[in-house]
Amino acid sequence: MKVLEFIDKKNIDTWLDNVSGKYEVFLPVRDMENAVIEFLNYKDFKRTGSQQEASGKKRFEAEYKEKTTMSPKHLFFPATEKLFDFEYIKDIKNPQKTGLELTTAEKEDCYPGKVLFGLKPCDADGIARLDKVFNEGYKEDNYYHNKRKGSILVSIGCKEIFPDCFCTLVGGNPFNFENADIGMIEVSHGYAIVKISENAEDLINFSRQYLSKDFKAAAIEEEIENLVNSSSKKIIQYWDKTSPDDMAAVMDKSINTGVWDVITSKCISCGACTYVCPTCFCFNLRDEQKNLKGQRYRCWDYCMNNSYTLEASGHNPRADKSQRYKNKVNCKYNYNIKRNKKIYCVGCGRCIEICPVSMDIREAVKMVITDNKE
Amino acid sequence: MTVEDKLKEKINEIIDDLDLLVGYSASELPLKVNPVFIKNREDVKNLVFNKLCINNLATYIYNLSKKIKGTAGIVLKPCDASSVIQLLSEGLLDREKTRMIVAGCSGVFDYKKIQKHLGGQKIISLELENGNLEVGTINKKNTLKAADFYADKCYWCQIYNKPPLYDDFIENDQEPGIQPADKYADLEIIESKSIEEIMNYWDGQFSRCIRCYACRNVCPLEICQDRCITNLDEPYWQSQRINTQEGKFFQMIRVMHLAGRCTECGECERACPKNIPLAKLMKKSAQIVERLFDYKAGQEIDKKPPFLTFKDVEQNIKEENLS
Repeated sequence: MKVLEFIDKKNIDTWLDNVSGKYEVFLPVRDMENAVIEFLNYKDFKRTGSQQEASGKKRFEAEYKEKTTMSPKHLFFPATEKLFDFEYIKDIKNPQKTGLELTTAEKEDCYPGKVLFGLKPCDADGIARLDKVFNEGYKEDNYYHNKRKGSILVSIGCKEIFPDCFCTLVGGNPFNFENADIGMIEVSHGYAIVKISENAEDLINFSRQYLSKDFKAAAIEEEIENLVNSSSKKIIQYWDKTSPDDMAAVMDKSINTGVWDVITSKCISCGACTYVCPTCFCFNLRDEQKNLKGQRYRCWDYCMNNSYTLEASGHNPRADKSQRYKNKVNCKYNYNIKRNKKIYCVGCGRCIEICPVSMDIREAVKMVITDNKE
Repeated sequence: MTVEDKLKEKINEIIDDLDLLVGYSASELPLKVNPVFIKNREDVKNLVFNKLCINNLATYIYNLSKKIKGTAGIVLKPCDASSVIQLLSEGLLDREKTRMIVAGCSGVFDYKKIQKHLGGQKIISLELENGNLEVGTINKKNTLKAADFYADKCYWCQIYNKPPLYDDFIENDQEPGIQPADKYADLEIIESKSIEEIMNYWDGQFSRCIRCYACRNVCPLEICQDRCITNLDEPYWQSQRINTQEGKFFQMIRVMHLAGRCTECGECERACPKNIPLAKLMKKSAQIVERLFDYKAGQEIDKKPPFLTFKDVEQNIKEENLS
């Protein structure tokens, strides 16, 4: 990988401070007390967080190693989003007729764009997959697009691999900057910038004064080479490298086997795994109306929920958790491969980490693959 | 012979009488164990029983009893047995179809506590040596005093080797050696604050709620799961919006529905991906129920839970104070 720019470690804070004057910067902040890491707006964090930071409760670490508890998808696809207000208007002169008035939520974007600093390569892959769902295809989704438009994804390569990481099994890798606008790698005393997309050129030009002018490119490149070589080897190989199409074929064959019952026996059918997932995109629409006024909301939904497929007749085609989990895995490893040519799992391992009963999607896929061979 | 070996021996004796057995097996991830469902004798060797077995397997027993015809065996810690007792006392389980295999316990570690202590750092390895926990995080070994990281319930447990009810009991020679602590100390800290401060505290906690319902689904006593009022469209009791207000509202409903039923196993708090201290709420409701109705959930099968029965006059509730 070629080093394009270099930024010194001691410049990172002032650089972010400066960038946040022009862009809306989001970065991962560790909440020490509650042991969660979340993406926060840099300004909010500085305003409300500095006191807490002083007392050691909340902390921002540029070189943070862990993934955030939630994936960054909520920055573009919030858990709850008001689509519009509506009001029925009655006309006294013409009581049989009712008018309807809609007011859409105002756009609040006055920034040139969001900067998401400190994404993992898998997080950026997740956002790229959501783009396919909301931004391409049948019709562009305005609500998503307005938030996503002009945003700059700054990924930092993963030097550390955790027991639940498996990006190389689903087509990624710890230093994959394909979907990032800026790709950074932490090396000794600084960050090497190895990718700058067209999108991010403005940001780089804007922050020129914080970038080092002379750096030893050859030495840094050698260091990066070593990092790249060592890190992906640490990932546990649950299955042999499989192309997405082969994976879809394997899943197709297993659709009517009993293996799903075995896999899901311990699942408690909650929604934690889908809510932390960077690629899950299901939502529910609901009008909440009081008298003549109301709002339409779009909220995250989860496919492990019984009422996800409950029909008005009372029939539920996926009444059992094994059917729901089969759908969940197939959605990621089969249906979306056919639709969008990509495995809709980026291997971040969040679902594995937070599952209260140790469900492991790697284990599930592996069981399906071995079941298929027998 | 360790408890684990004795447990496996026992299970080997009885596995043929069972349709299915729920137990623990080792997990690839440090700090965690897997709940497993086994049918065959050859799978018994994979079972484990150690200080990481924090999961309450009673979670599965209600749904399982609906699914299978014969007997379901279930590996329980003595505290988990009280969850089963509560289900039995409410008539939700068939005693004949439930085989309670209770293993004596010497305390279980709470991985959330370890994580919180380390500020949410990811744990890569864990070893127990001479009463110390060797916790590996990135590029670092942390030595923690094991005695501080037991699950909360272990600090006031009095039944670790005396299960209130069992079919098979495997005694544990190992004394837990845990210094007992005041159960209500953390509640007293919160209650000493003003109403506004308490409200702010809970608002801060519930601002993280994502309404994934892991707390509801992991609870051994919440058997209404698929028919929960939050899933209903008609009537539309609760908004589907995901925010502080709705999270808090849902949790209030949950606490009320579990008052007088909750056996304080702490599973809801353990399951919460955003680390909301739900066990505090459950503890408070259990405390109130105990004061008003002289009732502790999960103690005896024959004692009627206060909300499943009706008394003309409640001894501890003065009517004039109600208005």
